[in-house]
Amino acid sequence: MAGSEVVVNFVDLTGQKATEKFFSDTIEDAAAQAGLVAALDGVSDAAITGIIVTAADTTIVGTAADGVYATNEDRLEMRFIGGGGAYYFIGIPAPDESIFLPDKETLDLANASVMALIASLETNAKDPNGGGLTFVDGVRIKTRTKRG
Amino acid sequence: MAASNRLKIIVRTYGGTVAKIAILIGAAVVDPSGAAVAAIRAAIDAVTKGEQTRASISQPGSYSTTSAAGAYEDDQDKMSITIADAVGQYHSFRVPAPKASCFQAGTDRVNLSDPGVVAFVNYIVANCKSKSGAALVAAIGGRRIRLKAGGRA
Repeated sequence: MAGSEVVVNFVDLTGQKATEKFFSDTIEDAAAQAGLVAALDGVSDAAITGIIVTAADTTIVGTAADGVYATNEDRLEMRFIGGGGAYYFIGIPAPDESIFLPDKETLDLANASVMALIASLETNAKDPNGGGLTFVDGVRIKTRTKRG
Repeated sequence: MAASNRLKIIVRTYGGTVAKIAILIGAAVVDPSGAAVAAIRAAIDAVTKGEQTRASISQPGSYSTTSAAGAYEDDQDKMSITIADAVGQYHSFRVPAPKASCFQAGTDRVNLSDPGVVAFVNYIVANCKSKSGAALVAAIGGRRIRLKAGGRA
């Protein structure tokens, strides 16, 4: 795995916040994070309130193609429901037109790629509590960053 | 550790514009190069005309150490320690609201013999790297700094 960015959040006695950033490839599990917290706590009077570890992979997947819907403003918006009944949305920019029905906006649930995407997200995507998501529906939308 | 991690995928279109897809994933999934993320990226690639240029996973963790009163308890007061990496470049690591014991008496210079400073430097050298991935070697020195209102030293 590539190196991770480690962002540490502090709050001092007056309530002011501060953020510092480190780079590491070992501070990814809870035990290693606790080690960083202990090391910082030994030299700082501020409270440490959180750590965010971000690991990145810059491998390019796919090739950008031209055509209809080939902008970021065009999106497939997929709606899922979590275990607590709340809805969650996942947006896919520049959708391939072949995944929509002839009305050009309703997701074709019989399309093989759509079925694979739904299966992958239902397997891997979670709600904030770690519960699974169930697909509800999907529709093409156009965001309002550009009018037209 | 949170119940879920955040997967962010950057998509670039043929026209060069970029957008991101944000998906919460299981807390056990931490490797953006791993099989779970590869499966998601492959499934997305089949339905989009954009190319995915980056995938990253953020793991939020919450801690609750306690703020303490001290000479430098203000977050704008910082200890800046300079550490050299294996290729000779220097990197600064800053700690807000440093304890008074981190500094040599009567000066703004960091006391590199202070046990807390020694433990902090040892941890950073053992676990952190430069942004380009070079190993860190040793502390060169350090001083107290104070950020201006805009957040710049």
